[in-house]
Amino acid sequence: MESNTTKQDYAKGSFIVDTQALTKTYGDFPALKDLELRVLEGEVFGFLGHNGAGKTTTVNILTTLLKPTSGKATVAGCDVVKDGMGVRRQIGYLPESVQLYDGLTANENLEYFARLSGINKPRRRIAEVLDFLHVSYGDKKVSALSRGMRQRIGIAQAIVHGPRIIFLDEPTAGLDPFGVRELRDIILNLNREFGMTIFMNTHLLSEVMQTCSRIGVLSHGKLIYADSLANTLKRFKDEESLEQIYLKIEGNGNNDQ
Amino acid sequence: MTSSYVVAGQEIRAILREKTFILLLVIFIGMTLASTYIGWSSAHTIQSVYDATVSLLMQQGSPIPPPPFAGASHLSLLKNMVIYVVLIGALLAITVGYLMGIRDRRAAVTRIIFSRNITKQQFLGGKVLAMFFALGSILLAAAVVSTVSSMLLSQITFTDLVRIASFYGFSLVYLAGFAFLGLSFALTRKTSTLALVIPIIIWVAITFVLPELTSALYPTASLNPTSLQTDVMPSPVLNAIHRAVYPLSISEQFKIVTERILLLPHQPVVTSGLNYPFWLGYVAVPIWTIACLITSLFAIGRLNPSQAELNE
Repeated sequence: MESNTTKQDYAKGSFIVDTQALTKTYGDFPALKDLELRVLEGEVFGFLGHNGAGKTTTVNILTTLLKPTSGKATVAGCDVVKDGMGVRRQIGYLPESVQLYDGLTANENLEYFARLSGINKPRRRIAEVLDFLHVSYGDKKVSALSRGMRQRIGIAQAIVHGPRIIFLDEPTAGLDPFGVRELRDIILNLNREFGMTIFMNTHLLSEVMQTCSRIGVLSHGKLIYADSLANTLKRFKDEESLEQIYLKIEGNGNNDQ
Repeated sequence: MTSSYVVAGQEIRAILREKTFILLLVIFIGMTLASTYIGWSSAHTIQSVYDATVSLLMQQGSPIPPPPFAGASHLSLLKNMVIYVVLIGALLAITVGYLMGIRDRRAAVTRIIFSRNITKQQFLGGKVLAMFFALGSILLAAAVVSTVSSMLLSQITFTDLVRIASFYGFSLVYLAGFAFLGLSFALTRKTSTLALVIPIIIWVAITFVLPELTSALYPTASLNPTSLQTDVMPSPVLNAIHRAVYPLSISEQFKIVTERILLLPHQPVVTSGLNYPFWLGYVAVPIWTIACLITSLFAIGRLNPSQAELNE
């Protein structure tokens, strides 16, 4: 279910994420089935789906943490299986419920991840990133930070090396409304100021509404819907909220199966 | 290789802040100091008794026995260190390996690490470098303490210094095996408890169970490197077990080699009918360490970064 407008847009654009018949099975259980997913460079992509739909599996494959059973996926032009290091050089990743090293300070954590990304003298870069994120607690131990503060440090580690695309897995999970709003602003700023592509797994439809330029809906390992948010709202104009739109898409998708 | 250095640097920084590690380090260094003192104290006591006895015998006009430490090595003061390495040193090594393997999984950062420019082999390489640095530093500190205390309590020569260095070098090889074990299980087990308990069980088997089937035929030998008084011939069954197990009894092999290095009274741990070449230990201990390194390579190969968080 993809609109003609989007297809035309996509024919012109360069995909930073491109999957072809991507499949992942755990034993007999198919976590992903022939996933065909394309994300344009510079967009904020919201990846929606119920629990167990395969969103995290998709992100794990795209970040080279997991090998697909079959099919192909490229990120920033690099094959996730054949050129995993090429992918890793161009991505940032914030897993769900980021924890970091409790016994180290935020700065020490960031220094480690920056060095792992090949930045030899990372302090200046870390200072810039923390400044951008309005973080003033770099010298504090992570164990002393609140969940929202940790999430900011998590974002900082994901962007410290200046990636082209960042993958955020349920970034708002466990945050209070204030934290959610802060995170939303950070995501939008990253996209607007640095042109970073954001690939965001989420449950929070209100966040999708306010941050994403395009959405994809995954159900039982299959992509059942992908379109721009504007087109989606136009197409489902009779529905009262994005929640109802989502439920309708999920319902239709499952009926199609 | 650069990524390995980054991991190694991070590990060294982190382990120096681990209270468990610092505690074991202090205990090990303290026992090194105690070892020399205990060695000196017992020798001093025996010598005093001998001197008193000689005076008495001279007064009585009786023949005088030879001095108890005539021809003994200056390094005999360090004889307890052999046991301390086997006991607390191995536990310390397991702890070092365990902490290095479990830290990333406990912090749930394995996904982040492996989304960076680093392969599993480079990651393991960094851990191994840090592990050798940590164990090497501990043993170097112990070597300095041994040397200084030996200098203060005894007269040691340049050859003795070389022997002390060789002893701690061989100890590093022996202990590295235990650290690799700790690392391997910390990388693969679902829970941190199991990751620590399994290498400790292996340590118990190597340190206490296998010697029961070898040197325990001479009951004092499994605890202290004392001289064999009697040559006991066990039953044919025990003989066969003994023959099969002896090369695998790594702690025994370590003791034999290090006793040779420190010129301690040699303690045969096999009966006269089961002679193995003296160099067996020089080969068996490095093989043990290499086998444990291979286990670590398998463990890192099995590590699934997307599911590496501890299940607890």
